[in-house]
Amino acid sequence: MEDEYLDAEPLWLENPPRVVAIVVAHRAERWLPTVLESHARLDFLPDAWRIVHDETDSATTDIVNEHFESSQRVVVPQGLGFGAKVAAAIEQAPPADWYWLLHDDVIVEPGSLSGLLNEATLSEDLGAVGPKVREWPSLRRLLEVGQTITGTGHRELGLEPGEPDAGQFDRPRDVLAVGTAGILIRAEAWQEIGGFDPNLPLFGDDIDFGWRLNRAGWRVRTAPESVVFHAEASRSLRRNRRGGVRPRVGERRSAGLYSVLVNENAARVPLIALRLIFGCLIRALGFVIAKDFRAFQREIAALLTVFGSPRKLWRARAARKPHIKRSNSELKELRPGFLHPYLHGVDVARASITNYIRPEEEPFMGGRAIGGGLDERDLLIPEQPVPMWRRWPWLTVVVALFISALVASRSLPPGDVYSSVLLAAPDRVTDWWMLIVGRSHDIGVGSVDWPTTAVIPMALLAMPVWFKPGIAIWAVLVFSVPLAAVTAHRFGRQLTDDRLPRMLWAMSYGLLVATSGAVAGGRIGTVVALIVFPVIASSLWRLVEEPNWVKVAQSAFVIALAAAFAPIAWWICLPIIVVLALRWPSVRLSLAAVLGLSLVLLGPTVVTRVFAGAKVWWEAGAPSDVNPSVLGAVFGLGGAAGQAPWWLMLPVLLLGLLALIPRETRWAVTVAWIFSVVMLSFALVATAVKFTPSADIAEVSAWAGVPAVLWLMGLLTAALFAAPAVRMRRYRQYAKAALVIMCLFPVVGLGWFLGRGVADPLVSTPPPAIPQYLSDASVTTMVLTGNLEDGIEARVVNDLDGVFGTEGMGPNRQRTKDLQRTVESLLSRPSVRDTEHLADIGIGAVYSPDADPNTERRIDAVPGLAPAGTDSAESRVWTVTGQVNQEPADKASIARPIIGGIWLLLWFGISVMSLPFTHTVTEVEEQ
Amino acid sequence: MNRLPKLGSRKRGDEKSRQSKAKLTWRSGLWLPVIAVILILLALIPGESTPDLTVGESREIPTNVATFACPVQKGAEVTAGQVKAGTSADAKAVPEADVSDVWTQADQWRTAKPSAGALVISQEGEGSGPVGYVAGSARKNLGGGQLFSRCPGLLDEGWFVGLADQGKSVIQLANLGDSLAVVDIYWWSTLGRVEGDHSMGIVIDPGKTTTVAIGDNVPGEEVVGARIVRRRQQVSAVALSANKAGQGTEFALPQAELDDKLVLAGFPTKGTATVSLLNPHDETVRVKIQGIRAGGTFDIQGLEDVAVKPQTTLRVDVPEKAKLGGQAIQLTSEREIAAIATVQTAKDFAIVGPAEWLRHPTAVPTSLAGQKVQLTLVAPKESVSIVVEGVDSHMKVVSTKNISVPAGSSMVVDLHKELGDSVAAVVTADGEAYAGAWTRKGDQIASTPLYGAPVSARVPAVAVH
Repeated sequence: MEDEYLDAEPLWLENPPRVVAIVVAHRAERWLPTVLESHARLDFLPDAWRIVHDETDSATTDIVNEHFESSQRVVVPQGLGFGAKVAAAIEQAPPADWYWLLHDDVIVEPGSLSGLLNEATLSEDLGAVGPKVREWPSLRRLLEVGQTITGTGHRELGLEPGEPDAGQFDRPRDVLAVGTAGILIRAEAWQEIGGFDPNLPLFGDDIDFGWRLNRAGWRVRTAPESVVFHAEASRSLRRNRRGGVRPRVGERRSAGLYSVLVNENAARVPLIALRLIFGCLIRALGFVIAKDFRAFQREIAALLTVFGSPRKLWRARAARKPHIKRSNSELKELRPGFLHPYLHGVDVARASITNYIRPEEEPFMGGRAIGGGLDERDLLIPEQPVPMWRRWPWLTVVVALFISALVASRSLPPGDVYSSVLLAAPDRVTDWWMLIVGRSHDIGVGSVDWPTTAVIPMALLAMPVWFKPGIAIWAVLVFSVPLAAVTAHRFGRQLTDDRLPRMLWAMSYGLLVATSGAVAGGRIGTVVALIVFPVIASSLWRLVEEPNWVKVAQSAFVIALAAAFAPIAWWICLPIIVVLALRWPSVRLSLAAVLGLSLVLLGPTVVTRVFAGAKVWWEAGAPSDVNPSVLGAVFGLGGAAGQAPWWLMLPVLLLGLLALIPRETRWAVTVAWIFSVVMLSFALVATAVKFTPSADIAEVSAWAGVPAVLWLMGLLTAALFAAPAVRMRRYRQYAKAALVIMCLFPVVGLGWFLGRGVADPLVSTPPPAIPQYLSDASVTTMVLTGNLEDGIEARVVNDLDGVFGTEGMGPNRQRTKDLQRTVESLLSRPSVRDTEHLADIGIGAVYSPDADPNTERRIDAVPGLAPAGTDSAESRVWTVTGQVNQEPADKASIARPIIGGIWLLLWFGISVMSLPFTHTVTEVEEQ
Repeated sequence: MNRLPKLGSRKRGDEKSRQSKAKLTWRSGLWLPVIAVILILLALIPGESTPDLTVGESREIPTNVATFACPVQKGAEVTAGQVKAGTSADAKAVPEADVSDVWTQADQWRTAKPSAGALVISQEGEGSGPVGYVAGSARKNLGGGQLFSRCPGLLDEGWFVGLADQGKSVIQLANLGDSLAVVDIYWWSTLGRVEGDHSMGIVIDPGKTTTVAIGDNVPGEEVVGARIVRRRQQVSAVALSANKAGQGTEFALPQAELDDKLVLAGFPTKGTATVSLLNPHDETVRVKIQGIRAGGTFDIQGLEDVAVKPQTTLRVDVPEKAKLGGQAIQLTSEREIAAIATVQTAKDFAIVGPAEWLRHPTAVPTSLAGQKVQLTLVAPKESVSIVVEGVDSHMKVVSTKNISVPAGSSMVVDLHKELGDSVAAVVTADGEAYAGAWTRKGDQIASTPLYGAPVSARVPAVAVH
């Protein structure tokens, strides 16, 4: 019965509708003959044919003239859009019930038109019907079966990239729009809404047309029974556009924005406009991060084009208004959900991160169907029933390391972390920004100094956790092991193809960061430098391979990043760069630019740390004395609390020595050993160096953590290079033993890391510098320690004192001298003038945490200082009874915020450029 | 793009290995561990280490401002001066009262009779070294007698000894600041430590004085020692030791700190002397008391080895044959002690307190309240050259006397006689010298030890971070 019904002739054949087929041709000599042949095979022919041609090329003109009579030919001027050409054809066409629009690169099946009419004649309210469009020449991939538009102005096809036609869309359905290739338009509907919008000559006219039809009360429907094959000659840039409409930059994107703005309900337009503006800006930022500057350009151009012509929008909305019969809420089912476009962003981020971690060479992008580019690879859907840990062993290791890091941080909940080296994060991330651009800072009795450069990357990192910047520091420290392992592994891909040794090597490097004592000691300078160091090596490698300004910027950025946290990193990089310059003279200029740009990025740190003699060993954080030892450095230990036992490193040293045995790999092993010995030299120098952080502060021993770990890293790399030798016949018998030795450190080291944890001396609550009530009241407090015999140390605690990045900041020499004289006077021959001077420079209280009785008695005699409550029996507090000046600090010149702003922009720009994500979407692929 | 080979690839290694055999033998790399070991051994050679910097040592700096408070009995005369003209001075009375403008003339010696209480003068001027003296006659009800005393400065901690519960002996405390002052007093007697009833946490209102009666805390004792500790605010302290028998009154100034070498200079030329000692330690302290005269230092018979029991005071009589009139004594002890000498005449007594090493110049009036001032100069160790300059009220030097005091001897200078019309003498020594000023008019005697004027102050080393 059913078969009988299907085989029956359609009812419309009894009174066939009048159909005028309109073919729009432009420089189509490649496709037109085939297309015209397909027209001839139609099982139901249109009543009339009209071919629109602009006569831009003789070849097409000849074909047209050969196949069509002069009455069928509509010659239009050059430069008209698709809609205008169709309109011109319809003007010259005989009266009809339906117009069937065909592109010059669309071949039709015999049943294409009848299939459309089968669906179109079912209901009187159908304004347009679209065929199932498949790709020509593959003939298999689906290109379109109805389309819609997201709230952000992006075309949504509802297809996975490269999705083959397996009949999954063969049920006719109402849609917002159908493409113009093969669309069958009811003549009445065409006349009612006035055809295509002339403001959309190239792109988006189909969606706009369908949307307008829907709003005018007509329905738009797919007719999957009708199949056409589209070469998409214009999209794939295979068509010569000469004589046609020249697309402007971002025209496709601006068409999307335009369609949304002119077709949405009037009441929602302001909110939608805001959404589109911010969305475009965020997308533009995303393109910059992905270093897809053309896409960035398109996005910004579209934004400016659309929002720069409000009158055009207003007119378009006014033109649509008389025809509106249905509200957009009634079309809700035909539009994607609000969150749909953002899910695509999530897909991109996920794919980028996965691409960074996993060892595969091929980049992988995309996933959710919003119209990504098609590729033959997309058709390959491998079926891999193996478990994830076997499919992606490294990803599994990384996940395991992250979980281990969380376990190791069991006594440090996410939030603030503190040690004698690691200063606390500020309450607000803006405090970090203001350290750069502010003209004066609430540090001590006021400072106009520059903070350490590490503040900038920390502030950038803390942006997502602006409410609690301490989480950023916590995350860097706690996840330092997996992060260092990830960066090392990524660099390892450039060193070797051996997966297992590479994974063990990367994991070992990550653990070395912890075993050095840097993590538990809160030495964030060492931690960041060690995380970044493999990226430096990788960047320099890529720069040598393909020098360009992006890679120069990337290398400079990572060197500056490492040196901002551990200035010695710049000097460690110097010999490496010199060697590269000697070996590859062609990249000397680029390498010099890397060094120069890194110094520019480092800013004042160049003077205060990098080129400041022994102070180059002063890493980010408070200068804290360590107990350096030569043997400690040999075992990769920094010489402070929190480091692993020395014997834990024995397997690493052993591996380094064993790596020298195979002659076959000795060239590469030697290179690694040379690096190691240079790093060992740095570490040994560090054990003998002391530096004075600033005047009147006792000198402290240098922390050798960075070079000490890199020395062991070099030995591990030597082992990595030697690893392939065990596959040789000569060494095959030692393969298992070598594997065991390679596994020793990662296994035992991970056990130590998990067992010990990352706390102690790292704590989550910093000891208060002053009693809580004073800090709550933001009273600038002078803290006095020591005694009269051995000397008094005075430290002024202000709002930002003890905040990460301020460790090198203080008042100028004159102000320090003034305060010193005042304190001397207070403690020897006090007068009310001393108290007045304290008040003048903003000090409201004096705090003695462990009061020496003699000192206490002296301060008790100071006129204008009144005893106040304190937080412990051993401490004393005095408050200034007079009026305290609230804005005592000097101010830097007006140029400071400008210079700071430029500095920030430079960091921001180069850091964005240096993110390890690349993504290029051509305008053709964009939709 | 010039893609670099993977160093760790086997193929590359093999190729390079072959190259190395052929060309670059140094690539064997086997010498690198040797170099590493050599570097490590070199680093193990110990280097010279420099001691860590500490904040530093305390140092002397010129004083910009100094304050003293003169205890004023009714009718007493006060003179204020300096070793060098100051720039400005403030004066106030405690308790609050009108104060003459004369005291603000920081470049002059000025003398007046202020109202009873305490006259507080703060004088500015770098190295000005302001000093003040008070002189007059004690009230009859306090025992009468002649008073002459240097005005004490601000007190941190002070020691008294030789006070007695004579019914009228008191310690006067003045709060020179603008908020509550708090003082603790610890007591000793010949029997040991005494817990005073009202002597801990004595509160003095701003701008007020408080009098602590010795008898209220250590009743019935004759040799009372006291330690005064200021806990809060600026305070001055002076003891007024009265003779119960009505045989005189004298100011006693607090000894700033205990010492194991004390020089009591300025014994008036009449009267019998006793020495009072305070040992606040937990073990017996042996003290050697020697006389210092113009002829040299000598042991005083019976006082060569005086044992002061732990936590007690002790009074010993100085034999008359020691003939200390106008001279000094020196006390050398195993541990730091406090000491004073008392000189008793038939109608009066004087307290000779420990003098300080005149590291800085000092100044003393040539006469005050009709009392002509004598100066006893002591050089206990080595000979010292001392310059005594007579100045008029405008600090103009009108006469100069160079004195050389031989080692281990003392010398008396009659300032009024030697310096003619001078109102004051500025005394400058170039070695370890001590001085006491005393007056005598018949049996009326008084004495006060001299300290270097506050021209400089020792300030602790301060490091600002």
